[in-house]
Amino acid sequence: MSEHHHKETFVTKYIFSQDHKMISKQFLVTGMFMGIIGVLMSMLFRMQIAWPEKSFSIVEAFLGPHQTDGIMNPDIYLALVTIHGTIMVFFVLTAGLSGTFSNLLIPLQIGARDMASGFLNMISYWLFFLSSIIMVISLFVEAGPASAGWTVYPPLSALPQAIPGSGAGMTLWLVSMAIFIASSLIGSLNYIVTIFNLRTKGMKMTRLPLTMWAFFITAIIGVVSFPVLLSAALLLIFDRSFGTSFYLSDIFISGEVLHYQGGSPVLFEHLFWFLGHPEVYIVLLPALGITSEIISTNSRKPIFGYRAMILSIMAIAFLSTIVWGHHMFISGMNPFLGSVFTFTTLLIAIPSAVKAFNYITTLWKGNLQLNPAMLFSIGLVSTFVTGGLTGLVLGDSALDIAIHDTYFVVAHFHLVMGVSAIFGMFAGVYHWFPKMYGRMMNKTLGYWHFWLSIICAYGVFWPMHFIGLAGLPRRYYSNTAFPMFDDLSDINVVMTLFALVGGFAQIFFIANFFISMYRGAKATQNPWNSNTLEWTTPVEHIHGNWPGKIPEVHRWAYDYSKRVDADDDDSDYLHGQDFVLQTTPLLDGEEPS
Amino acid sequence: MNCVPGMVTEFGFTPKFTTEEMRQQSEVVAKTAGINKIRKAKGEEELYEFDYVLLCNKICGASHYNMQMKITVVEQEEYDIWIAEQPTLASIIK
Repeated sequence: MSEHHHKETFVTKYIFSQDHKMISKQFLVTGMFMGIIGVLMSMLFRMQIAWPEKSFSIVEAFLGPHQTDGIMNPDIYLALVTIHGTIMVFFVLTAGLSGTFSNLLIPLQIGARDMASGFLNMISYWLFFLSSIIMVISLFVEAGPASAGWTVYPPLSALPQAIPGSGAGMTLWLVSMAIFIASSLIGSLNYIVTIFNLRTKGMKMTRLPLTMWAFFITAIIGVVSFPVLLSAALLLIFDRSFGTSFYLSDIFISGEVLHYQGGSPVLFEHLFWFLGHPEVYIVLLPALGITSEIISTNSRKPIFGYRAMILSIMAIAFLSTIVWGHHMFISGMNPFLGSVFTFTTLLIAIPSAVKAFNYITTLWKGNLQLNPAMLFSIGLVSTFVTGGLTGLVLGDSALDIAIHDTYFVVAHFHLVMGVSAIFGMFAGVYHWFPKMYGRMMNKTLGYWHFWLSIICAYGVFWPMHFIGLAGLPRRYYSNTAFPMFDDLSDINVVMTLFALVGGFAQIFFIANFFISMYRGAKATQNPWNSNTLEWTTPVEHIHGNWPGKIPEVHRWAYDYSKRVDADDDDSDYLHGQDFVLQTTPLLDGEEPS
Repeated sequence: MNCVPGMVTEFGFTPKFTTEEMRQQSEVVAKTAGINKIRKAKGEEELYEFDYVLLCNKICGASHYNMQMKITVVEQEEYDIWIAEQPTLASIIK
């Protein structure tokens, strides 16, 4: 089937494009832009914690009416942590990660002309764009943006009298999130249908690269869990604007009782975390899929335990729907229920560990190509292990009583999401930049970016475990109110310094990204000598991906360093080179895979 | 547990040591010394002494970082003397 020769205008090619490759770039750039805002916010509030009584002109510049003489007000501190969390989890690590790589890679790696519905795909991006605009607009509301934490528990989030940000700022947050959820659901449906229906000849499910399995199962988790967040948000809108009492009961403000009767905030917690927990796996699984691909390609070895990897992804997906209560251990639940959630939470460590061990085993004795993508992937394995181990501590309901809502939790989730998943995203960008833009990113800048990022990441989050164990609660505007935390102020300064350096280090990436887009070395068709189908398409993008027929697939994606016999001799590679494209037919006598 | 307007709030705590006994524990003595060294260096006049404190542990509003309640743990006899000296609710409401 040949590509359509329709006239393309600037608008249909770059703005309202239905081509998955253009849409993936739109997701990426929007995600990066939101990420810059999120990082700036984190730098501002880290400065507040380290130097609570010091005046900063940058605070004056950025926070306008929400600061006094260069020191931020307490409620804007809460707004900053709220919007930081919301942007990073949803806009960067969900839309920016899944949206970019699912859109770019699904049609290319399964051998399809485009997504099942290019139109819905375009709508998915523009809804994401719209939700981003609304979230940014909410920053400029007079009383401030949403300030109840990214978890927006009522009554704090339901009552404008409780905190200024719970007025118009919270309303805009809810509108933005509702549109975001619609975007995500439309995208997920597209990914699932495309992978099921549009695989090319020979592309059995068991020949799919692990990126495809990861994006596919992530999309299924999304379809199951995002609607529950939408319900939670809708009920919150009803409580805020239409007088219902889903989450509220017996509220007194200045001696006056409000009309709400019979609701419970715990209902919101259940509805929120029913999405909230799968959400973190929606963030993580695509990063893990990307890592499988990059580690395998850059070790010149098949991924160890391909089927175990698939089963682990499925096990993680299933288990992630039955652990949400571990975010609610201190909500007053029956301790026996707590032990049930502890059990399921500890179970989910098993498939996660299987994946981590398989990455390490793939690296073992591999012919390692330590380019920036590979370094970020190995960095992901490191922080996934360290962050994952503290998840075991938090998952134990008895231990969680002492560390819930302390910096121990913040350290844990930043290592697994804020470092691990974002490293997966960086690795993916470095690896697939040639496919997206036809040029290579600068390697030296990539090395600077990696080493600064990983050193600063550990510099911020390693000590954070200890201040959490010392009892320091999270979301505190200042630690000076309690003398018992005075001995933690120096380490907070150290962490902030690492955070500032780490934040600025991202400039290496941003600069590299935009400059390489125009001035990077021109890429060859398959710069990483990878087996997967996307590298069989021409460097210059065409609609429909392949000129002429879509290639047929004869093998799985991991025939690296396949040899004729058992000698460890470079001359006997089975096909003359250490990689075999999925499109290469089997030789006589070669075992099918 | 979550202390939320509209929800029943309970606080249950079975102490092992009274406030005085805690102040004698070796780890507490070390921590207190460390903190007071820092406070003196900063020019703070009020020195730190261990107390059981409740702090807010769930985001609740602008003063989330500054909600504190002191708990004093004493021996039963000292408590009995103290409670006998407190006015009853009935006498206050009248």
